[in-house]
This record gives sequence, C-alpha cells and structure tokens, in this order.
Amino acid sequence: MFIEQVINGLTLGSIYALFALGYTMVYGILRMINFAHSEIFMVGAYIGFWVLSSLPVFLPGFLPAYFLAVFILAMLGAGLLAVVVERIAYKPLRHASRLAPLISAIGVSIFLQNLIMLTAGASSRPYPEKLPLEQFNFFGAQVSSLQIFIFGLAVLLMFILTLFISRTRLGKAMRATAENHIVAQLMGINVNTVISLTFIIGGGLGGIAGVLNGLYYGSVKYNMGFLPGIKAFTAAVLGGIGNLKGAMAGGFILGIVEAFAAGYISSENKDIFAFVILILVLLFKPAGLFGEEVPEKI
Amino acid sequence: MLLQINSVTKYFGGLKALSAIDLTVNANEVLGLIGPNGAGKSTLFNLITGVYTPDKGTILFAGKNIGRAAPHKITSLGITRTFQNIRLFANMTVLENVMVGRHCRTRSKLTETLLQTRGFKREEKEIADSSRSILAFIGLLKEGNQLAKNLSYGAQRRLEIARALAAEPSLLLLDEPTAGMNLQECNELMELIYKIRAQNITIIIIEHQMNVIMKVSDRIAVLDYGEKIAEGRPEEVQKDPKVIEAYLGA
Amino acid sequence: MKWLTALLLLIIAPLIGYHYGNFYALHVAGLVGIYCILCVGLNITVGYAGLLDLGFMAFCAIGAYTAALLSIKGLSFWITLPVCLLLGGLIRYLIGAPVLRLRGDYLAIVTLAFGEIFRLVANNFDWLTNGPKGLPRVGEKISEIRLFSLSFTNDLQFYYLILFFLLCTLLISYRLEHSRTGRALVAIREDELAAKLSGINVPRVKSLAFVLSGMFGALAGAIYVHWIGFISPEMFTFWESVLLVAMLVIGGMGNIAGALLGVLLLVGVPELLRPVLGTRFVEYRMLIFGLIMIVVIIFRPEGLLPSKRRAAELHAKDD
Ligand SMILES: Nc1ncnc2c1ncn2[C@@H]1O[C@H](COP(=O)(O)OP(=O)(O)O)[C@@H](O)[C@H]1O
Ligand SMILES: [Mg+2]
Repeated sequence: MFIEQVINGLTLGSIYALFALGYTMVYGILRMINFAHSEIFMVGAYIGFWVLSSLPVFLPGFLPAYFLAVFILAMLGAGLLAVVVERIAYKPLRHASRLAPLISAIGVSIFLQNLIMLTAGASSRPYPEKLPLEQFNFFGAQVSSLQIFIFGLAVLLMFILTLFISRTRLGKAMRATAENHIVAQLMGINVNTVISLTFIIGGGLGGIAGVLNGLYYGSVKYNMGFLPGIKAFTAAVLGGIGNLKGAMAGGFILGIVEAFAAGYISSENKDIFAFVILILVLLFKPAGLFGEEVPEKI
Repeated sequence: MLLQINSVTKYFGGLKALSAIDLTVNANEVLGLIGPNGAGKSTLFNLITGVYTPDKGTILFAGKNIGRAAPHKITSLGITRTFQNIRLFANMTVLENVMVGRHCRTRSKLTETLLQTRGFKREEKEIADSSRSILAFIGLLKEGNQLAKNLSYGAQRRLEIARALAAEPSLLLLDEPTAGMNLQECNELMELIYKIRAQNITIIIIEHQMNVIMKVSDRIAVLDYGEKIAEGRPEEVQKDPKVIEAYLGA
Repeated sequence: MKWLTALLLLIIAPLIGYHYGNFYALHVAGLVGIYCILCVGLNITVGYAGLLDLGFMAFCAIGAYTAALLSIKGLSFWITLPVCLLLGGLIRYLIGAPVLRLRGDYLAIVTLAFGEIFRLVANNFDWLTNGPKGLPRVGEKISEIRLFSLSFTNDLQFYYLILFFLLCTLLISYRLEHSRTGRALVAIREDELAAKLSGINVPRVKSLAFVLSGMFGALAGAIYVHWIGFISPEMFTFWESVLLVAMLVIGGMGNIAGALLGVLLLVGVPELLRPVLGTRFVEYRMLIFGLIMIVVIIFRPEGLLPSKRRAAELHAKDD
C-alpha cells in the first residue's frame, strides 16, 4: 500500500510538475496568473486524443515513431495556442493593473472550454488504448509500464528544460527578462520574443501533461483542465512561483500528498484537500518553500 | 521636541539602508533632509509613517513610541506625508482625494451611514466643506471636479499636500515636493510651505534643489549612505566639508 | 422624477404581462432581479474595494442551503432570512480575516478555492445537504413565504418580493457608495498604501465590505430557494461566480448602474432570446460571454457604463 501510493504519487506528480512549469514560467516573466493554462492542457489532451484516434491500429515496430508524433503534435499545438492567446488577450494588457490580465485569462478560459465543448461534445470520451500495457512487480507493489513511461518522460523533459535555461543564449535571455524587462531590453534582448518563447515552452509542456493525463485516466473532457490546473498552480506556488526547480519539486510533493490523502484518508474528498492545501500555502507560505518575498519599494 | 528618532537602523536584506540615525525635530520648525540619491531619506519617512518597522531603535512622536504602530494609527496621531512618486487616488476626483484625507478625523458608523442619520449628514457636510476650504487654501478649488489623474504634474503634487493636510497633521513630511516642477511652480510651492508653517504645522522636507531647501529650512540634516553626516543651520551645513564631499563625490 | 417613472414601470409592467399571460417574461424578470441583488452585492467587493472575488456564489449557496434546511423544519421565512444573513456574514467574516491581506491575484485564487470547497462540501456531505440530489429530500417540502394572510406562490408574487429586496439592496449600496466608508473603499482600490497612510484602517474597511457583500449573496440565495423550491450544488459552480464577475466587468465595475446593465445583458437578453433563437443559442452563450469579457477588458476596461464621478459635490448644497 505504501509503495503503491508513492508510485501513484510520483506519476501524478510528474503530470503536475510539467503542468506547473507553465504557470511558473509565465508568472516569472509577466507576473500574471495564466488562468487559461488549464485550457492549454485540455487542448493538448484533445490533440493527443485526435492524433491517436486517427492513426491506424497499433503496429509493434512503429511504437517510438507513433509516440513521437503524438507528443510532438500535442506540444506544438498547445504551445502555438498559448502564444496566440498571449498575443491576443494578454499583450495589450501588459501595462494595465494586475487584475486585468487575470480577468482576460478567465475570459480565454471560458472561451476555450466552450469552444471544445461545442465542437468535441459535452461528454467525456475514452482515450484510445493503443499502448501495450504491462504490469511489473516492484517490492510487492504493482507498477504499470504507463506509470514508468509518464515518470520517465517528465523527468527527461525537465532535464532538457533545465539545460536549456541554464546553458543556452535564449535560456539566459529568459532569465534576464524575468529579472527585469527594461534591463533585458537594454542588453539587446527582444523581450517580446522571449515572452513568446516562454508561452511556447510552458504551453507545450502543459500540452504534454494533458496527453499524459489523458493516457493515465483514460479519458478526455472539455472541463478536464480545471482541477489539475488548480493543483498545478498550487504546486507552482508551493515551490515559489517564478522558480522552475520549485515548480518541479512542488509538483511531486503535491502528487504524493494527493496520493496519500486519497489512499489513507478519503478518496471522495481528495479534491477538497487540494483546495485546502492551496489556501494554506497562499496564506502561510505565499513565497513558497524556496522563494523569498520581496517587499514593494515606495 | 515633537519627534525624536533614536539610533534607528533599517536593513533591506544585506543592505543597511539606515544605520543608527539620531534625529530630533522641534515643534514648528521646518527641517530639511538632504543627501545623494539612495542615501536613505525616503526610507526614513517610511519608518516614521509606519510603512516599514525599524530593525533597531525607537521613534517617539509627542512622547509616544510609534516604531511599531500601524500606519493608519500614526496618521491619526498627526503625522501625514506625500510621496516621492505621486500616489494619488487616480480615478477619484480632486475633491474626493481630499475628502479621503478627512477619514481619520470623522467617525460615522456603517449603520448611521445606511440610516442616513442627522449626525451622518452633518458629518458628510463637514467633510465636504472642510475639504473645499483646504482646496481653496492650496489653490485647487477650480479643479475640484476633475479626476486626479487628469491634473498637471505640479497640481498633482499640491493635491497630495492637500490630502495630507486634510488629516490635520501636526507633522507633515514632504518627499521631494518640487520634483518635476517648473520655476514658477517651485516658487508657489515655497509660498505654500510658509503658509502651512504659519498654521503651526511642523514640516520635514526632502529636497534636491539647494536654493529651495536653503531658503525654507530652519535646520538641515544630511544623510549619506544611511548615515547622518551633518546637521545644523543651512549656512553651517553648506560649508561643512563632509557635506561638500558627499555631494561632489556622488 | 425619472426614478419615479422607472419605479412605476417596474411595478405596473408585470401586471400587464401577467394579464396577457406572458409568464415566461415574468419568470425572467424575477431571475434578473435575483442576479441584480447578487451583482450589486458583489460590486461592493469587486467594484468599490477592487478585490476580485471568484467564489461569491458560495455565499448564495450558504443562504440557499440554510434557508432550505430551516424552512424544511417549518421555520418561517421571516425568521430564517435573518439567520441566513447573519450566518453568511459570519462565515464571510471568518474567511475574510486571514485572506483579505493577500495581494489581488492571490486573493482571487483563494476565494475561488473557498468557493469550490463549499460546493464540494455540499456535494459530499450527504447527511446535511443530500449531496448532488439536492434539497428538499423526497417527501420534504420547503415551506411557503407568508406575509399576513398572503402566501407567495406564483412568479408574479415573487417578482414583487424580489423587487422589494432589490430596492433595499440598491438603497444600501447607493448610500454606502456616497459615504465616508464608500470613499475609503474606492481609495483602497486605487492605492492601498496611500489609503492606509491617509488614516484608513484598511483591514477593517475591507472586511466590512467583504461581509456586507456576502450578506447580499445569502439574501439572494434565501429568496431563490423559496421561489424555485429546490437547491443543488450544481447551481453554485465556479463558473457561476465567474459569470457574476463577467457581468460586473462588462457592465462597469464600481457602478451600480453598470452592475444592473451587466445583468440585463448576460442574463436578461439571453433568457428572452432563448425561445426565439432556440437552445442552440444557449449553448453558444458562454462562448460569446468569454469573448466579450476579453474584448471589454482590453478596449474598455472601465466597462460599458463606467462610474460617474460625483460632480455635484463641489457646488455646496444649501441645506
Ligand atoms: N523596499 C526596499 N527593498 C529593498 N531596498 C530598498 C527598499 N527601499 C529602499 N531600498 C534601498 O535603500 C536605499 C535607500 O533608499 P531611499 O531611502 O529610497 O533613498 P533616497 O530617498 O535617499 O534616495 C537604496 O539603496 C534603496 O535601493
Ligand atoms: Mg527618496
């Protein structure tokens, strides 16, 4: 039971961590809560769903290519959508009050959810099961190949992202922009490009998280992004919003807490726990575990 | 002695913004506070008005320790201020900005408001009347109906002073009141400072324009890198070699 | 004079509608009235004080569930109503005390979380709320509202009841706005630090606004449940709270007339168009609202009816 919950927690945590990166990256650069990120996740899941449903039945030899296609398309689609949303709904509000972009993001969220509901239907759809599923025994607990895959892919992507941010020119430009837009501009960085890049990467990771979520729970629905979105946002805040490593750690912590709360306390009320954790974090640790609150200069 | 600051120290992370500052302000004087940018002048105002709390030291106002008091309490005790970067209620009218300043001198409760009792109406009229006379005093009565954000820069600075005066302060803190003003506005502002002073209001003024500060101040204190390097009458401070070095070195 | 005409119209028009059998319009009018109470109440928090509240429907739910539970026990509406208001206000106060010091965007998320917790509790705690099946349970009944010998049963009677409470709401909101406390709220919205340093006890004034608006939420819920006779957690989703915020954003935050316009546009017009354009239109409704919300916040952030500043105040009234 214990090991099983740890495994469930790590699987969930992988999804939350990838998802949380989008919230934290956008917050780091624009200081805004990208409320519509949960819809990017949902659209990513649908792209995966459409691609998987339209591909022919599973051919053993093509497994890697198959998966590559699903994930690359979901990542590109979700990333592009995130950039389009930024250009249309957030960019004009870059110098408005802090609440204006949040309100706009909520508008985008309503729009995208209803768009998918009207085009893809209001009921939940089963995710195509075209993967070979195997169960392994791990110290007496069951692990599925899917769980290993989710964890492995998430860790790989986070590793690549960390390298990208710390080693490449663009990654450094992103960090400089997060620090201070004006200074970054003076250093010759094109702030708009960096912001678009942030949305592409954050949105793309969110889209992949959506596909993984679809595979793991076996279904997609137009409102599937809302609850995981809240949890991923909680993870981002827990890790110190704006802090990439924090979001990854926060994601795993939240996944494990959820798995244990569901396993040992009450699975019916597990979503209530998620909201309670969100409230507790925002009230008592708004700067997160690894962040530091900066006082406003007067 | 109206205000007494005793060895006040303030850190921002590793930066020591003020170190062991001692300063006394006497009733009915105008104290000039000068120093290069980043010397800690605004930080001192923020400590006096309760925006920040000092890490060490005490601040006594009229004998009361206000070092840890809430900002609104300090305001109602009689210290009000203006800001280096103008902070008006941009989408309220000029008059309303001043009326908000009357808040801590009025008391109507919510029930009285909702029942529109006679006391409430009397108080509302008093708020409006006295706010209007403050606007007249400051020379902004004509602009009373405009939104604060539509005023000229100089007028916005004066409106901040009007709002601060509405709370009937005994100590008024002005943070770079002439910043961005032209020559004529500067002269008008000096006139205003004399007029305020004539009402027995003590003033601390942070100012970069030497001709202004030397004229209006009774005494001047000089800060540099968070330390008080000189204090005295304008002509003394002006000749002080440490002050000259701080300004030439900067 | 203008107001008197409007009031007369509001009183007489439904009688004519009723006479000609236009019951649907009457029902819509009642619904618009309920939403007006909600929106004008929420406007105190969102519009005046500038605190984005994304969980307001929770307080409507508290009012509705409290009223339903007490009324099933046979208590009169005139006793349950004050209980609903006090309970709504009390819970709002307890929540407000810790959360109101949070920064704007975090406050929005925390109110969202509280709103969802209330819905999930209503959904999961069957012994109290009968879960997703809602109240009243089979065999139970929410008792009628009685006033002297009159009992409120049809839409026309409820229309007048709602109109009465809406007028009270408007009066309270108007008086609040034009007072020392109202100015303090707007000042907090404009610049919290400057408000503090102008001598406003910011936590207290914020809490006051938060509690007061929550009470209007409870009021609307209590009336609604008596009118419709049924309540379930589905009616208080996050998206319902967002819809209220959308009404304020589109109509004009901080302005009573704006709040009313928002309700007319987002509730009145779609409901009246429903029989004409069919259910397909209803499905597109939210899609369109989302779009309008984005367009308004970008191109007209003050809303369609921005709050007019009180120009008259400068001219001393001789009274
Ligand atoms: N809220 C703050 N956080 C961090 N550093 C601050 C803050 N406020 C002021 N400082 C720093 O303290 C020093 C003094 O600032 P300030 O009092 O504004 O100077 P002055 O008003 O004399 O120009 C500066 O180095 C400034 O950067
Ligand atoms: Mg300064």
